[in-house]
This record gives sequence, C-alpha cells and structure tokens, in this order.
Amino acid sequence: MRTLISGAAVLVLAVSVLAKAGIMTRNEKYLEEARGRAKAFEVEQEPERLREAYLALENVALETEHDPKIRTRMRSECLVEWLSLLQLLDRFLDPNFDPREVPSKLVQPPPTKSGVMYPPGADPALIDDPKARAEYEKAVQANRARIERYRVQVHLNRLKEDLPQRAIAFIRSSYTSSQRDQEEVRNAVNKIIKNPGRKAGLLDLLHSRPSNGSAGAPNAPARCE
Amino acid sequence: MATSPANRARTRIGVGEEVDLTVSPGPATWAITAGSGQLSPSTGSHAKVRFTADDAAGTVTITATGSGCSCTIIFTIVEPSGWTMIQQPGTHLKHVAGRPNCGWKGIAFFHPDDVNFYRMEDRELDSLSVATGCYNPSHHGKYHGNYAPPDRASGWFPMTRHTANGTTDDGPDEIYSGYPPTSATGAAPPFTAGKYYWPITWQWRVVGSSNIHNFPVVRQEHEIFPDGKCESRKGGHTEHCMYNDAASSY
Repeated sequence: MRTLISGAAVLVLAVSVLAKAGIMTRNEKYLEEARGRAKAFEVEQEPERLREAYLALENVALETEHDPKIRTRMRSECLVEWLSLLQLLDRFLDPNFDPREVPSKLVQPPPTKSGVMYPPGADPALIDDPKARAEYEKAVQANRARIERYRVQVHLNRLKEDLPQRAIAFIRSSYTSSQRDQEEVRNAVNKIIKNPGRKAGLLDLLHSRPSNGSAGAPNAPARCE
Repeated sequence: MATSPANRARTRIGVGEEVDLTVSPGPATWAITAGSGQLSPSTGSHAKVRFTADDAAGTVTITATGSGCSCTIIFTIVEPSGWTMIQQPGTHLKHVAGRPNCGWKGIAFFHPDDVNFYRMEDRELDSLSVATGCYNPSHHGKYHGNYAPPDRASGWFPMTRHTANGTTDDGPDEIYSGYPPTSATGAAPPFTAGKYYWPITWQWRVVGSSNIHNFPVVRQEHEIFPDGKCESRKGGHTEHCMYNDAASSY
C-alpha cells in the first residue's frame, strides 16, 4: 500500500512537472533558471552561481510577453528576483573584507626537537612536540579556511560592482514613474532588501525617475497596456 | 573589457574574459556564429551585450544583425601557458643563523602577458620531494602542501591584478628550505652538500568551471653547498643565504 501511494505520488508529480514544462514559456524558464542558480549559490557558496543567476535573469525579455496581465506578472516576478539576488549578495558580503590581506599559500611549521626545520606545508605528523604540533595543525586549518573565505569574498566583491548596476538597469527600463509602478518597486524594496544603504540607494532611484511617466523602454507597461 | 592591458580595442583576450560589445546603429540581434562562449543577454534585440569567453583557446566570431545590415567581430581566446615567480616587493630573505638555510616570499605571474586572466583561479597539486645528500632522509619523500586526499590539492586562489609582467594572484608563497639535522650537514664548513626538489604542478580553471587544466611542471629546489651557501629556487627566481648570515625573516 505504501508503495502504491508512493508510486501514485511520483506519477502525479511527474505529470505535474511535464504539464508545467509544456506550458512554461521561454521567459519562465529563464526565471526558473535564475531561481535555481540563486539557490545553488546559497548551498554551495560558489559566487559563480550568483553570476549565472543574474545572467539568466537578464535573458527574460518582457517585450515578448504580449498578454498585458502575464507581462505585468512576469515583470513583478523579475523585480522580486533581482532584489532577492541583491539581498543574497549583501548577505554574503563581508563588510570587513580587505582584498590586500591575501592569505599565505602555506604555513611554516615549528622546528623539531631533533633539530630539523621542515619547510612550509609539512605534514604535522613530522613535528615531534605534541603541543607545537597541535598549534601548527590549528594554524594550517585556520589558513585553509582563510583561503576559501578570501576566494569567495574576492569574487563577491567583483559581483558587487556588476549586479547592482544590472538590477538598477532592469528597474529603470521596466518601471515608469507612475504611482502604481513606484509603489510596486517601493514595496518590493522595503520587503526584500535588508541592507539600509542598499535600500536607501534603491529608493533614491525612485525619486530620480523621470516624471513623464515613461520608462523609455519597449517593455514598459505604460506603453504596452 | 578589463582595463589592463590598456588597449581597449584588443581582440585577443584571456579565457573567461568579459567584453562589452556595442553596435551602431542599434539595436541588433546578437549571435556567436563561430566558436564558443556566452552572450548576455542571449535573447532579444540590444544595442549592447556582454560576451564571456569560454575556457579553451580558439577563435570566436560574433555577429550583430540589425535592420538591413550586419557586422562581425572576431576574438582570439588565449589560455594561460605557464607561470614564473618574483620575490614579493618589500619582503626580505628568511634565515636561521648558523645553519645552511634560505627562504624568500614569492608571488606568481601567469603568462602570456598581453591578455588579462582575471577570471582564472590557480591551485597546487601535491607532490613528493626527491632529496639527495644531507637532505636525505629528513627531507625526502615529503608532501609539499600535505593537502587532504582524495584531491590532494590546495584551495583555489583568484587572480587579483594584471601588470606588464602578467596576471598575478598575489598569494604569498614561502619558498623556504628548512634544514636537516646537524648530524647530516655538519656544524661548519665544509658542510655535507645536498639538494631536494618538488616537481610542482599548478592547475588553472575559469572561476566556477569544472574544467581543470595543468600547467607545465615547475621545480621548487633547495640546495646546500659545502661552503655553507643555501640556494632556494622556484619559477625562474633564485635567492641564497650563507650559513653565517645574520638571522632574518620575511
């Protein structure tokens, strides 16, 4: 019985997935890809996944959605995803990171009691004094952790220059200065963005929107609806 | 495109390098018509797109098709071919007085120098030392980094900057000999000579890629001479100390 239920559940899930795949538009696929990459970044903490996420998101072409309701929904989902990526970036960026503090490749072990000095990186088992060996092992582990943290922060800091610009470009090209559009962006920013500086910057963007009601882009709803 | 090298019109680029492309009059539909890489956005019509080079050497043709016309640009993608080392500026030699030993702090530069490898990372594959003379047995058959199995590889180091001498990760590498016991070398000249080396294999990848490539093997060598000189060599750079030099650190 248990097997039957499990089998039925799998079947329903498979049908659901297939049905979803059948009706999924190209834009929805890119959006899904962006979400998947963002989740992968959270799990792996591999910065490249975050980059892949926004490259996928950038492929969403709102102007190809001809149904105004679908286009508006897609635009909202993209806004949430762009802001979520920014929030993810801010969450993992270390504000105290100093790129000039490059970790050493290896750690120098202490001399042995028998008068041998081993070079950096030597096996801790070669160190005959237990206390010195323990301290060396600890230093090696700490350095390895530093190397990994350093690597992640270097790449995230590069994304820090690129990702916000692209998110802002999306908002500028997709949202107008209409009250409805501004309200949607404001609500999303307030809900998703935690970093006060980032939040203020994005909200300032709203105040600097042109007042003619046009975002100047072919996918601006004001022009399409 | 990376701002170093300074030539903003270069079409020879490093693996993984990004280039912003614009077309006038725009917008246009963009496509990679020969070779491989990534365009972003890859859909729709745009006046500007970003090309990201793949992680293999080759030629890539990108075509922009606008209203009634099209144009192309061809890029040559360059893989890193090898690396050399210099002593890190502002650092000193390491020496323990009275014993034949020598160390210097090096940083590596990756070549060729006319492209920027800022999207590359490097790491070291572990290797076992080969020692003769006074270094054997104390320094023979020892792992260089003692990296954990199964990979037996160090962590990845991202590139930090490009200069006229190549692209560097700025990672300080301590090229230090250590020393064998006095019973193996003697306490004064003539010292028992000896040498040891590791056949070092460094690897590279474009960040986030699972394609890992080996650089040619480079030896890290240390040698003690009968007069008490100790030489340490790696990546084309050599430093030495005499056993009776004053103690010093990096």
